[in-house]
Amino acid sequence: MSQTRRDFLKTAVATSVAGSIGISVPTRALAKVDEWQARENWNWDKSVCRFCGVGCGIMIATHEGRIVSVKGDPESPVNRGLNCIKGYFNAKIMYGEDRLTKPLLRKTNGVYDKNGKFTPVSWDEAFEVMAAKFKEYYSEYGPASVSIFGSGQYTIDEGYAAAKFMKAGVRSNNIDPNARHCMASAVAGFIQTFGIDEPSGCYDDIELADTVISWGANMAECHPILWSRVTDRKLEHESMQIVNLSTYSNRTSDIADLEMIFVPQTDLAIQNFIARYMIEHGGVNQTFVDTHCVFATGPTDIGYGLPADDPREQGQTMRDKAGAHWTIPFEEFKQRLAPYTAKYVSELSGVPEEKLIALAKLYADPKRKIVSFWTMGFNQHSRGTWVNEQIYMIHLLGGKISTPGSGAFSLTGQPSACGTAREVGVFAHRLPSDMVVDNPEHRARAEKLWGLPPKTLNPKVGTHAVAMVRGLRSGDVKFFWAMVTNPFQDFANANEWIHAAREKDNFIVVSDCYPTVSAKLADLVLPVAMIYEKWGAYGNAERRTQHWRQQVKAPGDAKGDLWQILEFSKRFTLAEVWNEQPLPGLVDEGFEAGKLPNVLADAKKLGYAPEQTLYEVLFARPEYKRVAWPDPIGEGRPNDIAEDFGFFVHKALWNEYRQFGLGNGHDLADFDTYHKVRGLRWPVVDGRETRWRFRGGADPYVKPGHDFYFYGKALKTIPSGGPNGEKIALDGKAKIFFRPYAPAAESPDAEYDLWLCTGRVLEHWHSGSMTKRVPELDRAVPYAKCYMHPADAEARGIARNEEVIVESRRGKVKARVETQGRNLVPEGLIFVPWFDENVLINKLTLDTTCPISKETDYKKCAARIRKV
Amino acid sequence: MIISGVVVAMRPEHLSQVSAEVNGLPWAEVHFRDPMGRLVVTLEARDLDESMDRMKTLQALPRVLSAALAEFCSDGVMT
Repeated sequence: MSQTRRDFLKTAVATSVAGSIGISVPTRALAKVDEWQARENWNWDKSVCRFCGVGCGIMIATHEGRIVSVKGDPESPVNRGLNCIKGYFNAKIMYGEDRLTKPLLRKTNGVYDKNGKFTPVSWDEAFEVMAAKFKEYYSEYGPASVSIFGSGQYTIDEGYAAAKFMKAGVRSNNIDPNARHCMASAVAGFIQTFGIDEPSGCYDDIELADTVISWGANMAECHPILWSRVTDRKLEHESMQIVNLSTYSNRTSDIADLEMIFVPQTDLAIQNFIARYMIEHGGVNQTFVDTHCVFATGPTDIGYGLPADDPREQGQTMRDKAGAHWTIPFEEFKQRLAPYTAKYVSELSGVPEEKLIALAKLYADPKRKIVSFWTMGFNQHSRGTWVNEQIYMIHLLGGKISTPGSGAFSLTGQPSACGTAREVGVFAHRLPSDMVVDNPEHRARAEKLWGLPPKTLNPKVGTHAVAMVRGLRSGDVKFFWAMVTNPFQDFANANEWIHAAREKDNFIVVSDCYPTVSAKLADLVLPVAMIYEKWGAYGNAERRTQHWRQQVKAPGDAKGDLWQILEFSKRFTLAEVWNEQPLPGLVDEGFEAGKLPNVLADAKKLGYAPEQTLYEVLFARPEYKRVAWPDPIGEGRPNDIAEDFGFFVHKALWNEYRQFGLGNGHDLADFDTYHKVRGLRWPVVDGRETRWRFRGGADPYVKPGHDFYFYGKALKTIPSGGPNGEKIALDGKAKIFFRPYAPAAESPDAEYDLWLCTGRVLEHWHSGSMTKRVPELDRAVPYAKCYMHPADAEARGIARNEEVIVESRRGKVKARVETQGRNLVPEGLIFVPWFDENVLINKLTLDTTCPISKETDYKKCAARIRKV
Repeated sequence: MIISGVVVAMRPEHLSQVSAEVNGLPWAEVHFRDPMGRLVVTLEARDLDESMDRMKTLQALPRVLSAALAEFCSDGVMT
């Protein structure tokens, strides 16, 4: 690079930084940058980062049909012009050398063969074979045999279209997202405690708090922009206290005042100790608790979410009713906390008593404003729902919730785990806006909004993610379509599902951008358009919905997931799917046992003909087609999907989708508004967003005269005093649960003597499909290491950087040992990140789940290490 | 070649001293000063690893409160 160009770039970078943080710069410098950018003809537009759930706003520059630059959006309230290292590389994720550009079908001698070789085919041939296989299984086994494994990275319109296709079209509830592995315990915790999903507070709490407590997270590496806001607060606010609770020492401890390294699974006992301490030491906000809360508990013999024949499930009589709960009096709550003394919890957790007390004192201090953050340490936990409930227990006892500067905040790992998976309801049991498939009123509302005959929707909860791959193994699931996710690298106990995918009678479709582990295992690979190659919207962790416009065109024949769903829906007529369908195990009021009724006669009354396609009935509806493209909001921007279908599909879907949330606590603004602002936090009522839900004066749903009102509607009528008590309604109240500590499903023993914990590193995101294609990120962290304590390494005669075999009862991988660096693990525990397909660590992990949320515990199983 | 734009924060009274120290590093250059106690610095590095190491060097300078990455330019493309 020439000296002049280098000097120019440095000036450009510095000027841009100064602009982002509000430092005035000489006009001469600005003019120089403007002149150069004008010469290069860069075109800037606002967008959103592709990676984690923080939801940073970014600015994207395009030039000659390619993204040439990305920077933090100075106007974004989330990141205020900053970006993390992954964020800067959004521009490069689409330009990996091995980008998929053609559908690939396994063929032998020109025809589909499960044991054939990948062969490029046309979209027409791909859909023809895909629809034929779908119908082959569907007509023989019914809606329960087909499935879509979706994603918290679906755009909102993609998730909505996929859910509508499955639930309203082919009448199958077998659609579940990878967010099941990531956020399901958080969801269950919210629903059980508040009766409505998602956090009450928002990121603004960081600048108002004087204490931040991170539980089971590594925010410094995994949510770096939020962590930079915490760091800034620490620098500006002298009394700010930061606590890091983790099972190993990580970068989040760098600025912590208190670090607590605990034995895996014992966080629940620590929470109970804190509650006990608060009660004993005047840390309870009695007025708040008396006015706004009830105490509750549930069964304890709920198992570990393993298959019914697993020895650990024997005698667990409530494994199918794990979510049941009832109110208890305060005295019973207090009595059940009694065993959790500092001494007992210190012995269990390995945390010194004085540290436990120091932490409890922070929560018990009525003057302290506290934000608790957590991610996968809580959620990926065989008692994931319970630990989520118990953090609310602590915050509700102290009245430290829904209050500026105080709240319990569940961070998300994916960019639209909230906006798509949760809010749209891309789960086996959900419908949009927190409605559920097994509630007749909710189904009736969805049928009305979707224009469906009564009883089209299937009332039986579908297979959740883990059940879906177990279904591949048992042969119950025959058709499996993975979209925007990499299941065969993601699922715990991966060997089982890899074998099932290749060896059983089934058809595996993977829509993907690169040849991932999952794509290589598929029968049909569909090439996808990536984020900036299509219009879309994500919803971040603080309920902020953000839309973006298409910037560039996808390469080759790659097409957006939305396009794929709509095209596939053209292959089905109503006569094929709205006739009578077998549904083994269905028992529901108003339905004949084991069958979904034929609704074609009622469909006719609504004006539908049996030969019409699902595309016509679900998507190309008259009200959809009236939403025209081009539209002024898209001035100067491409929209390949609208061009192909002849109407503004994204906007039409949005118009329909938002009807579900209006007046229902989930109000979203109209489509155009989102293209003029940097996102809005729902509920958006009368054009105004909501920063603190359930709080009088801040949330339009709180009735006048109330300081707080927990208005969530789900699970608010429960037995009182015991499981068989009289049912009572809990209007406006939140629940404070008691939950006991329970050991992990698998712990180290003589044979497998180490805890194995998995997770992420700063430079890579999830399974590495995108970040491994960015040369700078790949060079920075080229492979996953096995972090190990030096004493454990020495005891085994293993040197740093030596390649070893890491193995569990389920599988083994080779990895290099690291005894230094950013993660310092305690003796007896190893940490291996999961981004690297060459160190496929999920071959070792155990598919145990929280029995309530069905989310897998990726944070603990037993493993051992031996020399190669 | 990677050029990073970094915001270095310090107490306002230390601006001149820190600025001189940063300019003394062969791979770093101070471009703008904010009287509130911030410097806009660019740093050059061969690759991401080196860039990160150099960020840490800035963070470790005496009187520096924080050094945050704010802009990134790789292979001559501002990304």
